[in-house]
Amino acid sequence: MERNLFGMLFTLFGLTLWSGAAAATSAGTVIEVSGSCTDDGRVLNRGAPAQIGDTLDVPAGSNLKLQMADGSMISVASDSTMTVTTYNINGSGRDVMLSLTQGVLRVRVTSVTVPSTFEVSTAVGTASVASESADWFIRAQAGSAQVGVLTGIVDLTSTTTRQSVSIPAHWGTRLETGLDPVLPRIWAHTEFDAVIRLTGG
Amino acid sequence: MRTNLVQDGISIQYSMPYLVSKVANVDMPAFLRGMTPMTEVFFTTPVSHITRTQITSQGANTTLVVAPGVSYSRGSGWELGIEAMIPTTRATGSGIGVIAQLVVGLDYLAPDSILGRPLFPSAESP
Repeated sequence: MERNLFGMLFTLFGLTLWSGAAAATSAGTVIEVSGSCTDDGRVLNRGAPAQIGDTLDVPAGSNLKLQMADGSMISVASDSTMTVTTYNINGSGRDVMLSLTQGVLRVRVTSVTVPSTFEVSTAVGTASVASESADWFIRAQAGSAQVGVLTGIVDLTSTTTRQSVSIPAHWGTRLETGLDPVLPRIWAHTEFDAVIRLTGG
Repeated sequence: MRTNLVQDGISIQYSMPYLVSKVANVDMPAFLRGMTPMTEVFFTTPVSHITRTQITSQGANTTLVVAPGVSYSRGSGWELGIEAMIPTTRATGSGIGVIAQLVVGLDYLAPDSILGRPLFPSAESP
């Protein structure tokens, strides 16, 4: 009887440890940081982990670059706030959802051999990588979002109307609150240069 | 000597893609969201080197085509336009025609191919 009770307690203790470890699963690591970037209020330093559920805040004048668990790179521009909602990668697939409250991200998505969903949501819509890999930008502002694609294909879907457009390499588009995405157009190199500068290259 | 002609035209269009992406969320089927109804008008009329005979029949030498139609695009690398060609003067001819145009954007469908990029790119291209 005592042995059974001890066994149950041991199992419960083990489960508690396991669930704690699962809740704190690392999604990526900070590889570059400038300024006073924070993760749920904690100051971020190089080598610090970014975990699922964390909200990263990059104030004006700062920059942050993350290397994610699947090898993808995320550069967060100054004056940006991003939450790692989901970042799961295993033998059955990759499932990523980032939430960009405001600011600019450069996302370099690596190809994987498993089925993949890689999305960045904003208040007005969700951008989803539709190619194996991609190098792209997303900007979230009050009432609008912009997406520009350097390589790969990214779909942008309106939260309100559910209409979407596909954006190929060298193209970009814009989405405003409650409306359909604007039909994509070729972005000028000056437009790409502007977001590359913001995200630190 | 050949007669000098003035050629001109006007196109009036109403872009549903612009309406639903920049103005208002209008509830309509997805197919209609890509439509741009339009009416185009083309005319030619002689303005110089006209003989007396031509002056007397100048009205007959003026051509005027009215072309109502529609263009469809969802920003997916192609656009289809189709118009009726309606002659409105004797010089224009008789009978209604139809003209259609399919535009395929290689820079959209194959952006990294040789046909999808500028043949002479600038050094600053991304």
